[in-house]
Amino acid sequence: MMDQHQQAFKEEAYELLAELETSLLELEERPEDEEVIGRVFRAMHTIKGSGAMFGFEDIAAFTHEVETVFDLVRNGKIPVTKNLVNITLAARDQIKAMLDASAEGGMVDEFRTAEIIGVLKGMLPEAESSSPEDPQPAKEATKEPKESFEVTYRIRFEPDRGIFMRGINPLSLIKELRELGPCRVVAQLANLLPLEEMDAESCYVYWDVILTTKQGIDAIRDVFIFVEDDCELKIDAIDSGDAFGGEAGSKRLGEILMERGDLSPEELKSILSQQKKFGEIAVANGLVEPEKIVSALVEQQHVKEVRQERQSQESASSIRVPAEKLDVLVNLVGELVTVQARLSQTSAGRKDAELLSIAEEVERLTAELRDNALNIRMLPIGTTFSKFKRLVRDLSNELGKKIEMETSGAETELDKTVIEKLNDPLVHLIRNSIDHGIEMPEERAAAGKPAQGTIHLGAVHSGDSVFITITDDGAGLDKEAIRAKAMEKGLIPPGVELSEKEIFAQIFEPGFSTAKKVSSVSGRGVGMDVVKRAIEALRGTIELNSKRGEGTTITVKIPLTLAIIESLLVQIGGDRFLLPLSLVDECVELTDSDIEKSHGRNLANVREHLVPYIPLREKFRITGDPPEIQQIVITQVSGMRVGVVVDHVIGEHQTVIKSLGRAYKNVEGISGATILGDGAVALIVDIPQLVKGVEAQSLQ
Amino acid sequence: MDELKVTVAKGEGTPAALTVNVSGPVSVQNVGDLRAALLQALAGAEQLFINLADVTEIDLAGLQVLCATHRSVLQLNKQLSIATGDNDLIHAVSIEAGFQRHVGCAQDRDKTCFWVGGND
Repeated sequence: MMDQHQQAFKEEAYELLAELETSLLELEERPEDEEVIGRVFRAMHTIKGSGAMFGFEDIAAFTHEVETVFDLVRNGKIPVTKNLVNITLAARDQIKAMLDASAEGGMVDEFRTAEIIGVLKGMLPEAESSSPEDPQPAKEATKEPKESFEVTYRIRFEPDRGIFMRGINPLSLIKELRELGPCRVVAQLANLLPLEEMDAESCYVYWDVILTTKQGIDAIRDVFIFVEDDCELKIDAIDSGDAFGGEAGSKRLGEILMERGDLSPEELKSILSQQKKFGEIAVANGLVEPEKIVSALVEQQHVKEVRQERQSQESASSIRVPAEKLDVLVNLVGELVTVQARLSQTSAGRKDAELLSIAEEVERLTAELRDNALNIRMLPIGTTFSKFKRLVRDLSNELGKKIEMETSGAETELDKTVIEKLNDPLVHLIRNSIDHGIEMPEERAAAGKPAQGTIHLGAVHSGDSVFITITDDGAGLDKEAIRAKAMEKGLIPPGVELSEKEIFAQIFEPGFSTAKKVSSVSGRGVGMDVVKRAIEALRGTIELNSKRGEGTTITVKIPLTLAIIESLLVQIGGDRFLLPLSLVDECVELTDSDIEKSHGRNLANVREHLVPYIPLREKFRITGDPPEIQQIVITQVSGMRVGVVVDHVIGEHQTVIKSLGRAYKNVEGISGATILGDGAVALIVDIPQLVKGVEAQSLQ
Repeated sequence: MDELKVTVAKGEGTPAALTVNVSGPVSVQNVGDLRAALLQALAGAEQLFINLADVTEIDLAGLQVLCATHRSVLQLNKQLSIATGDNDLIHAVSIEAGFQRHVGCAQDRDKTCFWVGGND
């Protein structure tokens, strides 16, 4: 059994490993970047240290070897090479394997471990590799300087007039101050003389500097060590990070001026007796130079910002919560939304003003609670992006292609579950782009393209959906080859002309694969149909655009969350159904005469375009007669407009999705259910599946 | 190392206007020359235009002279404008030195202070 600390270590270690992977890939791009080398080293160091502490000796010992190498890299003794990055990535995978094994009680490939250590040792300079191992990790962490409290200082620095002549540049002193921490500098020019009277080689300026630093007052004094004797220097601590010492609220302008000695207490009093903005009065009465007010205001502002920063840092701390707890929370919120809908409906029927106002309040709070609860589950999609970078790197090496991966929108947030479920389809799509999309460097050169191909992975948030696009600048799809293949497989009936989009859509059909030979990357028989199914299971859609010779773009549209959707509530006979609003384009009327005109072919004429429709009443075998005027809800499915005929459209509905029991798993055309405000159950129509079923039927 | 060059040209149209073109490094070593040139120009013009677009370096002494020129102009009730073209060196140094501010000094009645504005 694992104890709590070991669990915590593992979670941390997985995060560190993910970070390590990202850093290593960055390092490959910028081998000289010391900051990245430092990051790699620190990640290794932490894994080693806490691994040893929680009893993962094997991980600690192994990581130690890698760390040793990176210590030398950090000190500039070993250069960063492609080999080094390769072996470190391999080592990172091995650490992950060790972690996985410790969880499942599995075995680690000891031979692989020894192999990696062997390679790593081979990279060490002679003297280092023969030195005895020192498996004594955890202590080093304490070497780092202890962080002390931040203190804000007010520094008035008034150099003497002759400072230039002694070869000192006051600006370099100011620069040194800026290096100590966040700093605001106000030059006071009040002593400056007009051009006629001034001596150009004298210094007339003095400074007020507000500096927040952890380095302490001595560090500030050190800056002025060579000029101290010839200048006026006054350093006061005005705000400390110590939570107990800090005064509540910020200082008033007058207080600051008085503390600085720019204003006497009597003057302060006389100003305060007037009812106007303090600064204005002080200047108007000629008591203080406007510049001094500015400087004091800068101080006020600086202290305020530093305090805000500190506060936001404190509140940015987070807690770790198991995902199941969140699931429970979201489920409860779902129940609450359902009950709230009932409450709203009931209160609307009662005509009780008091009840109505309570119901409205509950509605508002529930909506907020719902949004917040769903928000907690949102994660930036960027975490998966770095995984794909690794995939592209490894696969392109394997295939001898040169491919660069670009990403955008890594900060786009999606439901945690959705991100997890998106992983496999995206891996498949990216593999396809690498294998079939991007050509070999020679072919690219021959086609006049840069030898290095690019795959762009982007995520954009739009409405209640996220669009993920995978774009490559490869060969593009071969329309004719796809059509020939689809005809051969009997996917397109002979004599049917399809648009380009429809032809491209064929590659998502089951069993379709145009790869001439099977490679290890894709073409294993698992086709794009699996990808499409997986995306549709997330209630998403997938679309493909391609231009021969220029490349391919695949767009995946995914709803933000799985738990609650916006839908359109419709009625057929006594039953109510829900259509996902994200698919709905528009609603039009369907009269008996329209039906007659189409001669039973289920086609409606919408603004001179024929739109096929599915009569749900017929499809679901609902008895009774339809009303004289029915409604067609036109939806967008796989780039095609398809109508769904219902009796009445009731309106928009916030739908909390309840999955159907296992017994109904295979019911075609229904993806779930929800409970309406009056307690009745309404089924959620799975339109893409419904359309597919009808298509299959008509082909037979 | 290039040298400080100060040239004075008559303004177009208005005879009372003078343009002072400054190029090269302005530092405490040569700022006396700049001061002398500016003083002379100021004596002979109602409107002074200082072009700093080709200045390659400037230090605190240089900033001081600019500020002092403005004060003299204010005292003499003349007009001054300073241009830096695409050169953001002077802006950068003035930020570093803490010269940037929201309001000008007590003498700056017409709100023509060169440092007002681009504060951080």
